Amino acid sequence: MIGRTETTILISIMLLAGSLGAGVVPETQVDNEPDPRIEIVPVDSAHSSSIPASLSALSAKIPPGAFLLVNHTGTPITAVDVRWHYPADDGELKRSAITCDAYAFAPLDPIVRANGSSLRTPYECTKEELFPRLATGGILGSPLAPAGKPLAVAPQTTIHIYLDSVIFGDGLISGPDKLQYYLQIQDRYLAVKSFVAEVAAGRGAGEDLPTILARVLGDARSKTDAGSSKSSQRRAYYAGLLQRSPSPEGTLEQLRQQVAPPTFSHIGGSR
Amino acid sequence: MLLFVFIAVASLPSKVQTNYQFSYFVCDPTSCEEEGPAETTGYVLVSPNSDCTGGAIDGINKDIKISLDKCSTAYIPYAYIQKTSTEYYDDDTCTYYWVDYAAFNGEVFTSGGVVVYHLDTSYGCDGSESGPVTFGNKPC
Repeated sequence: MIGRTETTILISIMLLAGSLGAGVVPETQVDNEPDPRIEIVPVDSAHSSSIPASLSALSAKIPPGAFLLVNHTGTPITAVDVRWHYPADDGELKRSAITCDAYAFAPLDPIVRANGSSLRTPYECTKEELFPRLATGGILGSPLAPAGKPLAVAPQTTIHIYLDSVIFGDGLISGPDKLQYYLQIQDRYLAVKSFVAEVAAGRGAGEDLPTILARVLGDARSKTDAGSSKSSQRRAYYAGLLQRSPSPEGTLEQLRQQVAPPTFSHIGGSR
Repeated sequence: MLLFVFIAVASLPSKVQTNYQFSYFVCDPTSCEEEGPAETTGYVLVSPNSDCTGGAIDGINKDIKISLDKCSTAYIPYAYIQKTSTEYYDDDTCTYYWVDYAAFNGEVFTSGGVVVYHLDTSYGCDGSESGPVTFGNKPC
């Protein structure tokens, strides 16, 4: 005689097997392999032999489109810009994106180590040393859970991965780089230098730090009403960052320590 | 007279572009900014409730949670939501309209003020999403 629990488990297994057999789980397709030194391994059943055990154990929680970015070079990866395209369950073709960047704060902490790997999902980037901790993630800031609804990929469809750019620590850029993310890295560095100089000038004129930050923030926000001034947005961000910081002088010193990004160039001169 | 009215009506835009703005926006638990104590395990959470006009979406009702999990040293998690508005021009209706956005941001600081991680995702009342963009790495 089969008890209620066993019956429930049996039915669940049959439903799950039926779902998998019918292709309910969306397939993952890599649309571009920008460089043979980089490997993109979708986290799905077709690539289970290449997935670390710590991730395989979580496969049911890992969202569609997740992949391992494997760096086969001796140079760390410092920024990655990824897009996903998929048919949603409402019939529309939708897009998701993530950008992970090590250049924003000193000291530079690569996002994929030399000869290392990293998990990319539509929600987060996670270095391999954190894989064993993925089971306990936050709502936002976890590669397993989005801020809002998870990606509603239509069943029996394919989610496409498009890797626009992979930036290495030596400045080489791999990928089509249609979005030119490296320009944002360069602009942000200039914004940091400008902000640090602005603070120094304010102090030179006798202002204290809270006064300078309030002034810069007010001025920057007054120029962002059209939402189009990236430099004003960055001024506002750094002023706000120091206001939020538990140690504004420590954060200011970190900004002072910012080193210039390398000279960027595309592998093979592809642009 | 009748001809004048007809011409006047015909020259009007066929439709007026609607605004996509917050009609209601409140954060839980107490404000749109939450700073945690220096800790090795813990989190901060901000949960907004909002309603949007325009009909694209009902509202932006998501959470931002920045968590630390068994870190070797203590860090300070910070989560905050910022509202912004942007005016756009619609070519079809030749009218300007506004879109409100909520930027969900999170940071992890050392007690000395060094930022090790920043996360930024933005949602618009028109249903748009951008990001996430992450700077640095989560320490744990």
